[in-house]
Amino acid sequence: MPYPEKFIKGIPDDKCIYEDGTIATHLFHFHENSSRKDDNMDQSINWYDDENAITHTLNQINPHSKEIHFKEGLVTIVLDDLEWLNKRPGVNNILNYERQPLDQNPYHGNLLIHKDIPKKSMKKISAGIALLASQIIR
Amino acid sequence: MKQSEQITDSKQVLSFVPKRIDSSINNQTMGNDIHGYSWLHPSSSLMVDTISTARDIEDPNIKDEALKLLHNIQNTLKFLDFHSCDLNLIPPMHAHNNEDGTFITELVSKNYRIGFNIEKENIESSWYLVTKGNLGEIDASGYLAPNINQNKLILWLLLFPLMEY
Repeated sequence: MPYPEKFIKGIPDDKCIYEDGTIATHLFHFHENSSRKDDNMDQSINWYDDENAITHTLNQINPHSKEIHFKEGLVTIVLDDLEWLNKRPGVNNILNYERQPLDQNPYHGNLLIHKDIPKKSMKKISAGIALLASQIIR
Repeated sequence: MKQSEQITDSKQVLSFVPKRIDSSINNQTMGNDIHGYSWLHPSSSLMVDTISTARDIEDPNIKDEALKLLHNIQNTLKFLDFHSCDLNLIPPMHAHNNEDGTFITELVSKNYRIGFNIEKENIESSWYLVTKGNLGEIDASGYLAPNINQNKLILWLLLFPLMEY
């Protein structure tokens, strides 16, 4: 299935938003995932495949807390912008992405980065992704 | 009396914004060194939330490094202000204590971000400057290792917002 024009990043709590309403970079930090069988760190996203993707994301339930998962809404990012970021010499095509549909979430996917990348580079790239984020949608 | 002023018992009016000596006025006097009101310095308003966040860090080593970094940033802001740089051009500074115990502080603008990360292993602590295309797609990062002159690094990074205008 081809990738859509945009993807969605949910905002789980107000710690991911600064006081002036801007998105915090740490929302886009990558994390090690022990369930992965490759050498990547990941961060969850939803693919903006259709108009229902926004509503679905805003209504997602956290399986652990049974509450609304993204209490503070979501942002969207244009995939072409991410690809452009990826082409920068300092990023050098180390970003990747995938679909990973789940039973309760057909839109689910991940942004990927190799787990051996230095932390400083990962966090710099996370800041670059945060710069691409749209206004918050609630 | 303005809201930005405080009056003492001796009726001396203190400004919440340090006033500069006006060379055109003969014999102008000040109640104190112009940076004597450091707790009322404009740099404080840029950093009050970040310092508060850093004080909540649980790991004492990370806390120590974070407060040292913020102290260096505040000193650089004072230096820039002393040299008549307009601190209003510097975007708000934010901070967050990550779930893994590490600390991040960043200046966030629509077109760029300048950030500092304090890690558990000091040699991994780092800085970054990233910009959008209209500012050249800058994509820089480096370490805050112990042998790095933080003051020079911070000055170089904080000059970027001032140069953008």
